[in-house]
Amino acid sequence: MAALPKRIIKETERLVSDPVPGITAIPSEENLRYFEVTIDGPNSSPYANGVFHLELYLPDDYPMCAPKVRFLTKIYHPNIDKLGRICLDVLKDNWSPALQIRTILLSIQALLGAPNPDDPLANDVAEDWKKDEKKAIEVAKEWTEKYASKKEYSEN
Amino acid sequence: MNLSNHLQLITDPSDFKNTKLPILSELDLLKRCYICKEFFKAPVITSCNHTFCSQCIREYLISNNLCPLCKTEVFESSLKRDVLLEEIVLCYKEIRPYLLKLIKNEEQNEANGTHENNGKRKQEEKEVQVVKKPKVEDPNLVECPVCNQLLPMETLQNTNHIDECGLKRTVASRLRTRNTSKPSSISSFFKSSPNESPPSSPNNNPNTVPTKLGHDEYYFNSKTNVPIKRLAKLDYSSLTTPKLKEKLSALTLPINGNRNQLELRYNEYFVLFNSNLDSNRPVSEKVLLQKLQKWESSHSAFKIVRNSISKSITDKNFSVKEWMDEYSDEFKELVKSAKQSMKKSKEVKPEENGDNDEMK
Repeated sequence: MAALPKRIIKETERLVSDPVPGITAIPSEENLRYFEVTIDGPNSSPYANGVFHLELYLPDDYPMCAPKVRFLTKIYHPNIDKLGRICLDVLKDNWSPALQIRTILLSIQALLGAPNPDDPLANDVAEDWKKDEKKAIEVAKEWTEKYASKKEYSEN
Repeated sequence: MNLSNHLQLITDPSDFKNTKLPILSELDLLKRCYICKEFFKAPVITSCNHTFCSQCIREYLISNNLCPLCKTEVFESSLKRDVLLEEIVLCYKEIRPYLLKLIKNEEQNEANGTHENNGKRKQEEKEVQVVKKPKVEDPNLVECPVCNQLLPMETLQNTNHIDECGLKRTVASRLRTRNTSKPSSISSFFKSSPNESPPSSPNNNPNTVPTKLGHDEYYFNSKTNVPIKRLAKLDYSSLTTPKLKEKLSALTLPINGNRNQLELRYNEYFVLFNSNLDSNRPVSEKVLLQKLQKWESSHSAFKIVRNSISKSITDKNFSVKEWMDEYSDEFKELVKSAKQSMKKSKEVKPEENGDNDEMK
């Protein structure tokens, strides 16, 4: 295995020993730059009671550039497209090496709690969201139940 | 090397959490770079008055121009060395293990005095010993011949640890001898008197605590206004590949690999070289070349390209144009070598193996 920066080891150690409530991040045994992540849907959102699986990868240049994060669980959200890619400023232009895996995952959890249809990635979802927010929230709840319940994922 | 070995070598401000002075974690944190979270190595200060390791901030500024902390514009040329901070951090780093030991030991001694906790503490101590023992006997750990510190084999073989240790030794001994013969007034003022040095308790501290590290004198005697020649940043858009190779070979760097690898290689050496100049104790260019080599061996851009090709072609957003741009140099090279081998095969009977190697 290639040399792993101390910073990554330190972050990993803390993620495992002192996890953020509602978030787990477990490094892969073959590649310590690859993490299997789960985020619980925030209580006050349409994603409540859902457990969302994500993958997180630390590129060679980390922490000079942002980690790559993607949803593996299907989700109905204006800022997350059907490939699971996430539209979030701190993952793109607003990345700073002062941020870390922990803060990024917290930002993603916050994004679930506050969808932003004005800066969309999934255009169709964003339009639905703007046209009829109530209905969109219902669909988001349905999808959460369908794809993000614990049982569902293990079957896949 | 496994993760637990790595962890042993890593220090963290939280190490002070369970000591008599948990507040020291704050001081510990302030001596660390915000990018790599390690103690400052060759610290430099930005025009917005933020401090980072020279290597960290220079690497960051290759692709960004904003301070990671306050997002104001920062220019590489405006970075300034912080000679004093480097000595403070080096000094602190050496003192830190003794400090930790000392404030932890005090706790234990106190516990021994109180009857209630006595049994419990004793047991804890035993547990600690049980945990510690295998660490020492770990076959991956080797004693450094100079400083007697236990280190993983890899660290000893692949870094310049031994060189640094040796250097420290000679510098320290030189300073010590000079000190006895000709005490300078300023440094003797700052020199800690033997009474102030941490009391060495014979029962729990087999290694003697040094009474002198020499960082104070180093700082007061250092010549910091020597003009230095830095490597220039290259403008790749106006640089042909042969010219780039010329630049690399002038620095005795390898010139194999594709255009992207050449650029990455120069960038990394540029960062290593310039940040080395910001260190109070710069290493030789030979060591820098070793570091570069190590960096390449762990960087995915220098691994076999085929995997990444098959991956990106199957990607849904595969862009032909981007692909052409990225590999245009490689394509040209391939065409060139193909033409050459065609010529050769017409003239003489071909040596196909040699050509194939070139194409790679």
